[in-house]
Amino acid sequence: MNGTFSNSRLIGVRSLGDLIRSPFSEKFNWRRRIADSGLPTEVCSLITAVVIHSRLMRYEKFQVASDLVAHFEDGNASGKSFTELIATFGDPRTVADLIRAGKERNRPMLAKWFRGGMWVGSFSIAGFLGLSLFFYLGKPQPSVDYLPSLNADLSDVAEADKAWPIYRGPWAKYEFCEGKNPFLDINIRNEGAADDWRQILPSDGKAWEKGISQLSDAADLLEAFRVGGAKPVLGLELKARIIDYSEEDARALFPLQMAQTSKETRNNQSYDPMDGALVGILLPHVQTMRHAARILTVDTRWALEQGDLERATRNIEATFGFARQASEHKYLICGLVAFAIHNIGCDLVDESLAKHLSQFSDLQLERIQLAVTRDPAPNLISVDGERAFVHDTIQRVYTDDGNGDGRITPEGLQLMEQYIQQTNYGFNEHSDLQKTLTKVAKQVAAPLSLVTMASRKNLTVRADILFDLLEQHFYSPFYEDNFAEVEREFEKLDDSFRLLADLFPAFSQTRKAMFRGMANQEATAAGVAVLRFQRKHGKLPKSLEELVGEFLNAVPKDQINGAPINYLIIDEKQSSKNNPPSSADVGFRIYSVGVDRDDDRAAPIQLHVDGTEPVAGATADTSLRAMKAGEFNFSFPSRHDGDWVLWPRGTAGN
Amino acid sequence: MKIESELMRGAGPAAVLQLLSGGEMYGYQIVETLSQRSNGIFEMGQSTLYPMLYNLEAKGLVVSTNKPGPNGKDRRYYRLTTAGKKRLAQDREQWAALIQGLSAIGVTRTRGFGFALEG
Repeated sequence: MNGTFSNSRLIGVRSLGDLIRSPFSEKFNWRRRIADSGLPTEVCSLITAVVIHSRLMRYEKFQVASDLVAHFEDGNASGKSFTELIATFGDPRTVADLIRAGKERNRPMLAKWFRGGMWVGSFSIAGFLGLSLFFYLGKPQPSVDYLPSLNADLSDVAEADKAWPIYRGPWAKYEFCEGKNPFLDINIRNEGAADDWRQILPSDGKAWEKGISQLSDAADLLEAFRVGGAKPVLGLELKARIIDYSEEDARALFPLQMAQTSKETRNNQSYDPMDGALVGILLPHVQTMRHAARILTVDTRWALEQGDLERATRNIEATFGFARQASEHKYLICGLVAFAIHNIGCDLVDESLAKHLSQFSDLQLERIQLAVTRDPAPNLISVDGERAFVHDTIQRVYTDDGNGDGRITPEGLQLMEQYIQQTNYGFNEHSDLQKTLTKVAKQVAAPLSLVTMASRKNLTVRADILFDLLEQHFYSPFYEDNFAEVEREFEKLDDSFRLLADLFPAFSQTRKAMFRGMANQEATAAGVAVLRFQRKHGKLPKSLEELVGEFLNAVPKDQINGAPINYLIIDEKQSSKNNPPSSADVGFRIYSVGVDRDDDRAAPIQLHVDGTEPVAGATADTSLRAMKAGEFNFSFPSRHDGDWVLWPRGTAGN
Repeated sequence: MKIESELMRGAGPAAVLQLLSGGEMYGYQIVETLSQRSNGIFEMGQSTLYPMLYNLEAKGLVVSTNKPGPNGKDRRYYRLTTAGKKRLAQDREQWAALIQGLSAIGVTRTRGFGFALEG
């Protein structure tokens, strides 16, 4: 018995399981059905030809073979010869076509779905294989060197105006670099705060003694800071790889790598921590300069203790020079560190003048004020580098068709993954098996990125739209522009623009940093101008307008509302209430109205954290740091009631 | 007499349904019976019969069952469904009208297919 067919329309296929198994099950072996019939070879060949040409599913072929075998058997049994039966059979191909048409129409819905599913599956697999081949054949071909656009144009800069040749020798001598802190023991923990460090003070006893002893031993390094810090430019040309730097430069910038590896090892490109991409370029000098600014803070304290006002003034000038020089390369991080250094400088001015104002000469005060304002805060930061960085990354992620378009590549995806992992995205890989499975899953899924990720052209266009908007709004004052247009455009980026979303700078935070830099700079300069006026006239000016001309170019604007920055003369009783003790005798405040936009008469901000109790002793700076970028655009009176007192800075005496 | 395949295509299903109205039959049995009862007019080979049976089955006019035939081997037996019976009744009316029309205009002089269509 060949098969147990029911009268169901499934005709021998009782379930989805049968359908799935039918291509393999012996139950539907139609060739054996024909061979076992015992019919002559010619008949078997004819039936086989019809069945093959019918191109039906296997279980259907079995049914057709059974019908035809039965037909020939019955015909022969009724007295007709096989030759006769073959002659009247007709053209096998035509018969097969007709049978196919009839059978296909007769298919149960289950079989139709199954068949359709098989086709869709086959096409999908074929399509995926094609897609995979297309994907894995793609290779990025970076053709534009964006590095020169990040380096300052030094072609017209005289060697005497460059700081780097001055820093280079002492930096290499002392292996003064990031990663080898503390080079000098100038930091000390604030009491009761595990992660809060500050620089040593004369009141720190042994720590102070040890620190200044080390400073004394590194006098040539500190003098290099002062001389170099006064130079207009840094004059360091960034390279794509360590081996591209001169031996002299590399020893100053990467002393640890240079000391630990042989020349042969360094010449091996695979060793080089930089891979030629903008994203891989190391900027060791930037953090080193911030460290240098902290060292000069301590040295300034020591100079003031010694009564060496000239050294203190030069230190202050050099600190602001570091900010300018750190910002020389157009990376955003350079600008952010420059702001940080500039703030260190403002703190140093506040601290120095609070305690030693009378010791500074008029000229020294003027020099300090000039150092504060020499480089306007917006000049310290550029978004150009980020645009170049995004374009450089795009050319390392996508192929290049020569017309500005291209497709994503395996190497590019790997590069993207590195960025994404840095933003804590992806799988947590715990076991080897998990790692293997994850790797396989990623490789299998990778070609799908061709359809899920934006094309090179789309990505480039969107990047330029965003950067154009960013440039248009980045430097505009807060009171003129709420920056919402950039944020709205950024929010439009869907998952296909994930690369751009990940690479695009945290512009709101960056802009906040610039605002802090501007506010600190302008208020510090105005504060010094008030002190100079007071020294000359023996009294405080009634308003900041009185300073304009001799002491100040213009009254700074409050970044929050565009009005002139607030200035308030306070008497001794008031000053003892809510103000930093070291500044109490100054007798005036320069302040912004803050985000609540009302004048609280210089009452310091009551900073709330998550709606809880106010943080005691919050300064304008700590308030600004704690504030989310969006809060600049709205009022949060319960969270940020009070004013941003920008001068005195409240840091003196730390 | 050999009938044109176009004509056979229209008449064949009605002839098979008519045949099955007398009871279930397997493939070769249908071929033989049709040939005998139509005096050789319906000489239907495999190339016509099996695709036709699959079509009729697809339309739900017949159903098939596998069971042993006269020689003990499995054969697929076809029988009319209720839908097949209704369809046969319609076919009868239409063929009668067609023959009447053909006769009226002189194409036919006798009710040639009556033997089959009147059951």
